[in-house]
Amino acid sequence: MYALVDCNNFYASCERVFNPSLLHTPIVVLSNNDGCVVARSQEAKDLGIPMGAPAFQLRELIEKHKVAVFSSNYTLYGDMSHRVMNTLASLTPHIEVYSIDEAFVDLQGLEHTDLTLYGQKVVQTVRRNTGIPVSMGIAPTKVLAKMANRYAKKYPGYKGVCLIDTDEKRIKALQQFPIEDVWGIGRQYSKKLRYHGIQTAYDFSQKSRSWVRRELTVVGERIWSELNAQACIAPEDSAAAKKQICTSRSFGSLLTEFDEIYEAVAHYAASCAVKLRKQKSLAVGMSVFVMTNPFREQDPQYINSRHIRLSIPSNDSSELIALAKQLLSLIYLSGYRYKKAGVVITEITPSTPTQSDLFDPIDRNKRKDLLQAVDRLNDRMGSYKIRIASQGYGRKWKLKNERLSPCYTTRLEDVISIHCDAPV
Amino acid sequence: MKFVVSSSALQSHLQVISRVINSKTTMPALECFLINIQGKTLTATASDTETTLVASMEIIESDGDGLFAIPARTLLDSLRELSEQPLTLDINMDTFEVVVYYQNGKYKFVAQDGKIYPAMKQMSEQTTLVELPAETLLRGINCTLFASADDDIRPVMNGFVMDISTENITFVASDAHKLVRMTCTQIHGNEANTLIIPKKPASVLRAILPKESAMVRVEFDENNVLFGLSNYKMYCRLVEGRFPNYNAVIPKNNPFKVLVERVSFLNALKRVSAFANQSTGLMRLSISNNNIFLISQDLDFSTSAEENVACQYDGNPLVIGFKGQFLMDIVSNLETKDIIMELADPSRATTLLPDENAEGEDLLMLLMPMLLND
Repeated sequence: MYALVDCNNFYASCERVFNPSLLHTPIVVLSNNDGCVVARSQEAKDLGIPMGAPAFQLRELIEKHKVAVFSSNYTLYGDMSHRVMNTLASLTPHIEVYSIDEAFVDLQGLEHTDLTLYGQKVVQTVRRNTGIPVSMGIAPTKVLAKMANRYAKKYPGYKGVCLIDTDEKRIKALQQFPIEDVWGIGRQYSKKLRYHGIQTAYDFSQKSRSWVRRELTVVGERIWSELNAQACIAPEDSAAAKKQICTSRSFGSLLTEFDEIYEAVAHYAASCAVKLRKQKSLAVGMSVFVMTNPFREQDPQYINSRHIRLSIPSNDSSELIALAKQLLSLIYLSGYRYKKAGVVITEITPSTPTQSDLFDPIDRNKRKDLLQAVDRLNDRMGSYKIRIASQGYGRKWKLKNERLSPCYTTRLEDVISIHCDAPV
Repeated sequence: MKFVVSSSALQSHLQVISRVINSKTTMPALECFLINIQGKTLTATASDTETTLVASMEIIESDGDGLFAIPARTLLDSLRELSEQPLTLDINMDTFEVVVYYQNGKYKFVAQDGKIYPAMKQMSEQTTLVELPAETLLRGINCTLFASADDDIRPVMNGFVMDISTENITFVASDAHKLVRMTCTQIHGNEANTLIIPKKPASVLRAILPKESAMVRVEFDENNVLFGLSNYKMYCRLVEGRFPNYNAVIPKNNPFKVLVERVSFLNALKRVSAFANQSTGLMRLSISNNNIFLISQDLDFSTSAEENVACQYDGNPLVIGFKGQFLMDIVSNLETKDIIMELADPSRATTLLPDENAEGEDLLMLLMPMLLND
């Protein structure tokens, strides 16, 4: 049996934990640059605020209903996620963190306990330990667990836990579940399935195996098997090292000058280098891209990218920045208003063992010591306290986040202080 | 105009020069052979602008001279299916309509005016000439080319080097991980020159040299080189830039010498490397007491392999790591029964040598280790 534990309205819930006055207020969290709505509390959903709506279109609604609006505070969410996952790990045999707010739990060995009771204990403990409300779906396969979770969230009667353990329950759940909400069925697949008259997960599960294989390849066949209670998506062990690393942001304002964009790109390249060093890897291939804002139809549009393979794999910030500059100068054209740029490490190799190079002009051991020292200092003093000069401090490109909540859990001056008067 | 030519002779020459033509080319004219008939000689040219290969052959008879460009694919595909016989090609020099008459039928297609074919760059007035036996040039290319790189950042490594001095001619190639240096001691030039020849013309040469027995004329200026064979001429642009100082990175006095039988070593490497980590390909060699102990493992998939290979070694015990594929490339490109590995320590270059050099040559291969962090 598998369980999927999913935090309810995670970002909104995080904002609430440290600000209980928001408990019944509608909350929305905006994407980077305060652009679109990426998370809503239940109250905000009830107001009809759609997911992904641009914030400026909602101004009236927000004012009228006194909706609390936040910029996304990934430091806070990341830390809260960590707390939730830690609590889960202490309560369950094996967890697989699937995203910032979801985790699969492998319940092998617990089949003979009362899983509903067990689930409720998990849900209550996470709530008590972290303040974050979670729901749990329990079923024989991952796809069904995901579905059960949906029901657990939707119907308060379940008290946060929905268990699909009999065929009867499974079929009932499938029959009420729209096909496009099934895990793994995307927009294209659901369009195709709708065309074939398949409306619900149940309709899909009734198709023959060969039909599914033909129309949706082996990927679809796996989903089909899972819906028919035959587990075939295995639990994954500890998250595999990344195969690609991308650092990219929209700029806080439109940029036109090479130097301004270069500063951002240098920063992204440095950030990729830090991530590479953290996972003990080296970059083998790297791309840089730039683009204008496609929504500003009045502006001339431009998008381009360039790729390079490194002769000697590296995770050295200054080397990657120098390469990024080379690539950027190949694709930068003046006269455009750039909205976004990014650095993608397209190919990665482990940093040990290293294939040494006959004509390497750099003393890699020395550089390694230097980078380690820099990383240690930055870990202690704050990220990029020591940086390559080209990363700069101009920050014209910096994200717009005007409604950022405090980092309650990670920054000392933001920790809430409580005044306790000594009892008389 | 009309001319008669042997089908198999035409086919074999065109087949050879067609190796130069890129499958995707920006200039449509480069998908053609440029054919020039003058008297009783036919010259056919194929080019990708960087490399140009010209074949010349005798024809049986012709009624005039002509210059035209024929679509390469069409001509080759049709010739390939013909048995040996005289072919008559009839070309209307106004419309460039071509009719090929063969024993039981004819092909009809359209050529183009030879003037559409891009003109070749001429060599400068001042060129240098070196002559060397075809066999030696072939040997030089065969020994070194596998070690050349595919590197966007260091284009000088994407080919082989002909280092000509007044004492000898040395062939070198390297991808910065492995390096091959083959010195031919019995030939030399009149002055010192270094040519870097790109991979593509090198591999074309490798295909045409085995049929050549005479001396090859190597004529070059600063940017181009012309290889003159008896029936072929190959012009190619040299790689610009300076090849790194390879002699400086070749260790002179590696103290530890291992003598091992080449084929059994290679076969052991092939077996053990199948279990190495896919991304690193690391192969660990523990060498001690007349034995090489090979180990590979992939912790991610819990696979591993180990094997002992007998050798002659009585130095200090040594552990060194190599990328398995590189080591196999080198061992399989050496040809002698036994080979010698000369090592210093796990971080420095290891040289691999034949236990005995062929007459008139001095061959050395070198491999950089993978640094083991333990």
